[in-house]
Amino acid sequence: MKKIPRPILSILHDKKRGNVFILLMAFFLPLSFVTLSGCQKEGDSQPPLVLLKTGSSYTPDRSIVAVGGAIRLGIEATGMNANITNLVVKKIMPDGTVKVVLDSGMNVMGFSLDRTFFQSVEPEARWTVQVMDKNRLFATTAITIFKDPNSTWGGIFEYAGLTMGYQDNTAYGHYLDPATGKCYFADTASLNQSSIDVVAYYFNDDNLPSPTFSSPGEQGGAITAYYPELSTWTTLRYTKWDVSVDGDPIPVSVFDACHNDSTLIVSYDDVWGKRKFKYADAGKVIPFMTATGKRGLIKVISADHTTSGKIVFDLKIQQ
Amino acid sequence: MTKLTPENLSLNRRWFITGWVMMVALVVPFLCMAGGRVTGTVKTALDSKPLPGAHVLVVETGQGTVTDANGVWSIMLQSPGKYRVKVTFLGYQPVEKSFRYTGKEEVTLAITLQEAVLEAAEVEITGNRPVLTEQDVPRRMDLIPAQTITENPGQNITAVLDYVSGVNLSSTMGLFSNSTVVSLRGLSGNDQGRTLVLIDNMPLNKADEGTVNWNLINRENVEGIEVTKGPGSARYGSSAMGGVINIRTRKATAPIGGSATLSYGTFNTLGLRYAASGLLGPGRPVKGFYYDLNGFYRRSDGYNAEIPEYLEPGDTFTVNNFLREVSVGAKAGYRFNANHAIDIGGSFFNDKRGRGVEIYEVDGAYERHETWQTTLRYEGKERNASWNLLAYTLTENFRRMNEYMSEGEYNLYLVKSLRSDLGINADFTINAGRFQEITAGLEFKQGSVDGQDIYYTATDLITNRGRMENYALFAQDIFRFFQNRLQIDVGLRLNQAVFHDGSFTIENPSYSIEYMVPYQDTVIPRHDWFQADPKFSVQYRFTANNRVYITVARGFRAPNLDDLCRTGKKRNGFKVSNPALNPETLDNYETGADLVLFKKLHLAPSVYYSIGHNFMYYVSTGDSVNMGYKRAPVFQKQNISRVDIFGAEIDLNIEPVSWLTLFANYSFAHSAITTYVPADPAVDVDLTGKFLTDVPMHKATAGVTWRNKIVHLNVLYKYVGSRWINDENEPDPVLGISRYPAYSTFSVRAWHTFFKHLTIALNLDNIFDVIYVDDRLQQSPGRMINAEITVKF
Repeated sequence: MKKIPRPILSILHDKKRGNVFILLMAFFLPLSFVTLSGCQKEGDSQPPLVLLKTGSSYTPDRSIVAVGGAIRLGIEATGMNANITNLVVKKIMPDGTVKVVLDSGMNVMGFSLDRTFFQSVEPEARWTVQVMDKNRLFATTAITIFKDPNSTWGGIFEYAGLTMGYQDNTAYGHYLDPATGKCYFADTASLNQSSIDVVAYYFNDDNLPSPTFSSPGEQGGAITAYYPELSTWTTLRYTKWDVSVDGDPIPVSVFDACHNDSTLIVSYDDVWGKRKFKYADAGKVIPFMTATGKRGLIKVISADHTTSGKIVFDLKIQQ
Repeated sequence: MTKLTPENLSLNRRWFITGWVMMVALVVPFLCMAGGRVTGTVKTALDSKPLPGAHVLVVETGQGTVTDANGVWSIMLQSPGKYRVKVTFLGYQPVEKSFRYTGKEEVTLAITLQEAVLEAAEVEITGNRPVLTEQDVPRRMDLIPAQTITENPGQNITAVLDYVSGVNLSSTMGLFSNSTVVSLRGLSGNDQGRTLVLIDNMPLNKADEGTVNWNLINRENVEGIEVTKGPGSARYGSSAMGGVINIRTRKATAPIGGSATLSYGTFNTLGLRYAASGLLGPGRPVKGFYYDLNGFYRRSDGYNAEIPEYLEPGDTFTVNNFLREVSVGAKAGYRFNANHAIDIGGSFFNDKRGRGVEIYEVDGAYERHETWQTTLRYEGKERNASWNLLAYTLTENFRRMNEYMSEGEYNLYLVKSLRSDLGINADFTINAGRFQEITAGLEFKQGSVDGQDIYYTATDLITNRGRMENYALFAQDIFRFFQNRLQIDVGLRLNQAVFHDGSFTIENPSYSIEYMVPYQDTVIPRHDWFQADPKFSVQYRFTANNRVYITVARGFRAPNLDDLCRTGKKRNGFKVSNPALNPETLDNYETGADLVLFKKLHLAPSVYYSIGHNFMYYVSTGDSVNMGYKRAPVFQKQNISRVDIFGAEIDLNIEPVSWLTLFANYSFAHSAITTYVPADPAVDVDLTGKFLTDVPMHKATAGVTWRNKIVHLNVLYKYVGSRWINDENEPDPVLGISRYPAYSTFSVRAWHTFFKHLTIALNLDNIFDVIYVDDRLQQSPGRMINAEITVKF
């Protein structure tokens, strides 16, 4: 006799029991899936806390600072219900004008940061520190700084016709000490790590390859592929390059006429200070600030477009 | 571009009313026609009771009807001859009966149906509409049955569509993709807005960007897919430009039935999907309650989709694209009798798909969709008339978390968008005498977007909003002559749309987006547009399966809300919204044939030529903005280009013996921009003569299904030709090539069914581990292997 296979889940062919089974499925399956998908409950949100450190290491409220002088801010911030994700330092002038000097992203529960800024030409400014957490709740604190009315412009070093080689160039050094104008190859540069602020290479991993200025402190970028010896350095100085000049160029004539640090100070906008400057082609004037806060300008005279090429430029930097 | 003035608007409305009146005047005279007929009764074999709602088809003429409450049916015939009538009803074995009609006497047939154990693949009926075959419409339509879907070794429903001629799939990442595009007939593979996707006639394309979330479709619950190629806007309106893909879900056919599938495979991918349905009440299946339940869950560790050339040295943030998704759906309805039914349905889908970057956030960069669908349907039929009413809502809460490092700086922001679409469709069909079938209807559709870019690593909060309403009237008249050998379809749809309540605002702008501030508007101007879409088709059937057809039709695609009201960064510049955008249109001329040779070989060639007008591309406005790090040109999307597409497809199907099925098809598409007017030659690249992106000129697929006692095998082959990467047809700066290379894949599914209810399957998708790039500069996952256990009950 042929054996008739017994259907799996034969319960489902029983009218009453089958319907009960389906109703149970209808109830529990959606419930379990919705539970799995999870529901987020938003708790009571409190804004983060921010305060400025005090003490002899920091610039106190209502200080008078000479143009180019250091303003040292110590910032401590703590997120209450959410990580802190943004820090903004801005100068608010008496007429309401706002100048952002630092706008940085992060994702931390709290931080303690010491940061040096430099007095510019405005007579008075309210230096405001603002932090925002991931709930977009804000906290601010501020001090007022006055410009020393007796300020004078500082001196600068000027170097003409400096030449740096790109990563595959064996004739010219890749590492520059801008204070002395000396270029080094890898072997001697490693002996001068604490004074190397500029590195040049031909950046060819991007949409449009280009002559590029950077610094040993460039993190997570192409520089480690071009100059692997940097991984052995103990001091990696980070120079910031003001990329906003691509949108608002500095005329070469302004660079040529500059013989004190006035142009260097007003030309550099720290909020646009990035880790490298791409498209450093002939005719461009590029502001930068070294790890020690020295502002400088580079005027590119010529730039090759091969990895074995070189870049020739004039340089001016605060003494 | 036509400037809209009150005079123009008034003119549009006048045309709108005049056109509608003319259509009614055209079709009314045919309503009174009548002729000779064949009648009959359908009863159940078990108890000899009349069977209402059974579908009756005269095979030779394609005419169909449904039995009434007494199981009686009647079909008009024009001329004498030998005919076959096919009767089908869910839950019963189909019956085919031959008869001779002399032209003098009325023929009466008595038919009884035996009960059957139904499988989804056998279902051929959509609601109260008559059974359709691929030759019933005078254009190219492919019907994909549930069996083909089940037997495909791919893991998503889109993998099934990839083997249909004329279909172009852009989904490099397969099941990990959150932006899959299925386009038809040579249209660009990066824009879903030009191909309409429906699920049980409900549109899935969102008004915001025209996108479709293919991931929310439960493969287990799909009964079949209709792929109608070429413009279908005369019936379906916006987006039906390249064609219409209608996904049909399972219907309750038995007291209880369904299936559940558990799968596990490559990348630690675990999935469970199920679909169940049933009938309740003593009057079933004719009368009583019915319900459907379905859902799925899937998780996977994913893979790293980043192209090696695009990886930065020392990159430690690139991770796998994981996925987690869950969906539940339910539908409940009541069938009053064989002719009237009402149901209400709803579903919820929630997914989270990684985007391959993780820095501080737990899941890093990701995309998440929470989608709610609700439907309310009423289907009715009385005498020669039938009607369908559908109300629906589709609400998507979309979130895309962006977490990345750029030039050493950390960035985190969330794109949050509430996309709401709702609509009401009503259509009415009447069989007006022996020659004519008239369908008319109206449609209302509203789409809105409420989007925000919420920055966390900056203070910016950018908001964009917009809303669009579309009102439409449509009519279609089908004339059949010479025993249905000659069929003429005429249709027209009139659309009036309005975009309003648009806004773009910025709160707390940071230094990096100060340049956007002058472009914010509290109110974006309102804009109206009118669109008329005619179609005309003629078909001649030599026999039931041999035919030629010619069709002329227009399709259109409404402008997206995103283009109408969103301003923001774009590659190489900055784009501003353009609320004055008008629809893109496509005029299509097509001819094709179906030929059955040697009884077993089915050939289906078709050729087409399409002219696209007012295609939208970015052009510079002449302005520029200082983005801080560079001065960038301002772009705006405008209706500026003409596109010409000519193409051809040929399908071949053969079933030499009952256990072997073979198919092959080839698609050719030459898609190029023939007119493009650059606003500023210094900024805009002249695209005249350039090819559309992401469209393979050549594509071919083939497959063989072999059924035997030990293990069934389905082997599929796919060749996809090279595709242009960008609009300029220039080499990609990093890859150094202007076209994604052509590639071929082989996929296999092997399965065996035990005791009729348990199936164990092994799927080997892309068996030779071919790594390819289809779109968006991401690479494919390569070979995917998974094992499945399916239980049917």
